[in-house]
Amino acid sequence: MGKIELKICMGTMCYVMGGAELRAAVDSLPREERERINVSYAPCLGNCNDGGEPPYVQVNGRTIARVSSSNLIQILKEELHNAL
Amino acid sequence: MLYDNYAMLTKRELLIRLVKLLKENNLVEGVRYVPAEMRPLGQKNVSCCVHKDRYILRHKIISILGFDLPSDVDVDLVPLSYYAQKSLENKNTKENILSVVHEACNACMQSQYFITNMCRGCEARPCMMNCPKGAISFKGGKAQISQEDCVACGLCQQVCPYHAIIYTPVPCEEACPVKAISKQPDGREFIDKDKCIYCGKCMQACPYGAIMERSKIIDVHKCISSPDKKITAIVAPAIYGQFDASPAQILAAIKKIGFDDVIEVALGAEDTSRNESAELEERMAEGQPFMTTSCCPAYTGWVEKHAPMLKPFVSETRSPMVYAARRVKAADPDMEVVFIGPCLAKRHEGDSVPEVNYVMSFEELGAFMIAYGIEVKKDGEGAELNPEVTKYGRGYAMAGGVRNAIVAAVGDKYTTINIEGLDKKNAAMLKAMAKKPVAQFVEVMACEGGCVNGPCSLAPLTLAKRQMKKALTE
Ligand code: FES
Repeated sequence: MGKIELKICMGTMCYVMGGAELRAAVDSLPREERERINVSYAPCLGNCNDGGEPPYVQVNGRTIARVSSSNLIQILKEELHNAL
Repeated sequence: MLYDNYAMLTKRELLIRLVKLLKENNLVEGVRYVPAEMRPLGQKNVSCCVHKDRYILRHKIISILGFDLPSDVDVDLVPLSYYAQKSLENKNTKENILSVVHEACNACMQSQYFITNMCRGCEARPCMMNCPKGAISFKGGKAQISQEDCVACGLCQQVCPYHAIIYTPVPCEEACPVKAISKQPDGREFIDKDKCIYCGKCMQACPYGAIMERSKIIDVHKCISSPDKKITAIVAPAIYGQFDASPAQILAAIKKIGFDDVIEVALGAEDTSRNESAELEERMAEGQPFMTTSCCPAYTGWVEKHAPMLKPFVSETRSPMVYAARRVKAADPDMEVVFIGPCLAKRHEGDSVPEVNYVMSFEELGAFMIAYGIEVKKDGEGAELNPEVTKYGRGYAMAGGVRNAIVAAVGDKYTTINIEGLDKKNAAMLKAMAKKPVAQFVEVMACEGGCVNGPCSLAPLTLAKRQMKKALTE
């Protein structure tokens, strides 16, 4: 079973614009799923210079903008399924 | 709980954009474009159409710039640049700490029990049979509730076998612990200043972000940017729950925005602990039954307006904010002082404390950090903390923290409890204490969990608690 790499941007912009909530979202996943995700927290990913569309995360290297808890969970579930 | 709140993010984005414009010295020119920039064509609208979305943002901007809404003039006849200019000239007139932006207020339906079309008109008709007021009748094979007779007991909802009955609440009214917000005849909400204790619950509850607080970004920015003004930020200890960084890093990062100095309000909390424990000893020696804390302004406001029988038992010791501000002014009377915290009621308290010039929220602080490109971990390196501040002073940010500080000072010879939240149960318990106290020292905080759960926080409670605990053990 493959693992998923999730990088959550913890730069000030992303953190303030909803990134803080994402940490809790990942921890709400069932344990079998949570264990298959390597979560790391990154300083500003450099996407927010002109405002951009924060908060940003990277899932397996793919950058995703304007993430909410619910669509992050959905994306992670899909990736987990694909990696089975 | 998974809870993304776009109304909250909209407010934060507005603050960020306005502080950026201030920093670029472009507020008057640039402010008119903000609504369209935030809601560009071709994106999904929040309300019925993009125009209404932009229109609501426009009104929220007027509120942030410091003008009371609704106002006597038709604000659509006045360009945003005019408000921006006025506000820069200190001619913003806003007095209300909280106001309802009527354009955003959805005029929710009066809260009521409501029979949906899931009703099958069954033979049993338990809703009608059980209604104590005879408010339910059947028409065309479906139940209906006479709203005049309904007392909202909810029995019908409990007994309906089809779950066909729903309750439609008015979120702000439900959240308000003191019934200070209610509908006007036109359906819009109105806040009664004589009742409001500025706990901020309505503001958090409104799904439209229609309840806006007074902002101080313009005034504070002016102090930061003008060379002939000096300003010190005094920062509430709840800040340590807001970022994943050490207390020293966080304070240093705040200073980098351009404050002349940054002081921990926890330093003032040390003064509060000292005075409060002395006052407790004194009152106990006089034979008084109990004493409650006074550091939470929503709680003292509640006593003032809704529980006067408790007044004699509230400590006269001032809040950590007051002592911290006094220290700053004592050292330099020309220094302006801005309190930065998670609290709405502090804006009200600040109005009556001459040593505090401005009160700002963590959300406003976040906007400053972003506009000034501050990254907490990076910009906060190499800082040191004031050794006078103990973990007890910083602990004021969490429910139970004041009690801990007092017990540390006087020992455990008195009985103590801490009460968090002013919901119905706690309010009743507190009021009863005037006659029958349950402990000699009673800590009261209006927010569940304490200041880390304040209405103007940046981090959600679970994260804030975790980060706070880490900061206290460091
Ligand atoms: S803060 Fe996340 S991209 Fe800059």
